[in-house]
Amino acid sequence: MDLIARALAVYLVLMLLFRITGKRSLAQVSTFDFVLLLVVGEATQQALLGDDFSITTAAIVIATLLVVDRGADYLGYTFPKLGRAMESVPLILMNDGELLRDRMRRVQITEEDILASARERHGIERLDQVKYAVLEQSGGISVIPR
Amino acid sequence: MARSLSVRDIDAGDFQRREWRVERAGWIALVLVLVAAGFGVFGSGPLSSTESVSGDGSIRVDYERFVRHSGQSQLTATVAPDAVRDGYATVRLSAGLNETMDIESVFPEPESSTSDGSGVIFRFAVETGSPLVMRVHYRPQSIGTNSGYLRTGQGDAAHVRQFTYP
Repeated sequence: MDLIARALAVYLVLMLLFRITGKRSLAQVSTFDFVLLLVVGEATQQALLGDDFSITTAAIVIATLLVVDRGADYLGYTFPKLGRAMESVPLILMNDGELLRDRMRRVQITEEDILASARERHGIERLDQVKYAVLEQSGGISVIPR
Repeated sequence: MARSLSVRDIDAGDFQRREWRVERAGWIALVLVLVAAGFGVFGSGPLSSTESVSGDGSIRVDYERFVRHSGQSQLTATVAPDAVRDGYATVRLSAGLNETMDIESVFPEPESSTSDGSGVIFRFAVETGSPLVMRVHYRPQSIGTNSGYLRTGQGDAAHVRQFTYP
């Protein structure tokens, strides 16, 4: 019981923190983001497991986290408003070739970020070859070429 | 036939603006929490360390107002020299405190520790004329507010009130 409560509490705290810090918090996938992710995991581990190293405990905690996560997906699907609140929405940053600068400023994404994504996924050289750029819920930038 | 969903249909509009407002409030809250943590609202800081002295001055307790469940915590009790009798001093830890503490060590090592209905009594050998400084290392076990007292011999009690975070 205690384990399930711990796992739930940790899930909620993490969800709240990552929701507040925004889509881009750990999505930039630089080496440092990756390291930070590991450290967050390390900091969470003790609160989840305490000093109980049994397989049973690990199994219960993992099961709780997965069930809660799937449950949250299910609730988000059933109640779209809740889903939006939990997972946010995609945001258009470039609309039909036109950069939406006020939005980019809000999410701290530069032209270079968009261009980097365009290069990586489509081998695009210049920004004027891009028709749409969207900041996805995952924090990645997807690009649709002209 | 309905037009299929396209990238043009993504219009965050109102929701996105609300989200940014909430995010900003969240940022402010987050910074406030971190500042509060720096000052010791969640333990170990100037707002947390406190002391309690018994009415007759026979015992002083330095402790943390805020502690965390299962986190390493310390409490120091200082017994005044005139409360030491025949080379011994006793410190009573009230049941209210004892029950909520998982005591890892008491230093110096007491000569004996006895329990009665209202707590635990530690008995220490002390040089005559010097105070006894007793340190208790413990891990808080119950979440929420817990209170109790420490006293030496028949002296007045020094009251302790702690809040344990989960």
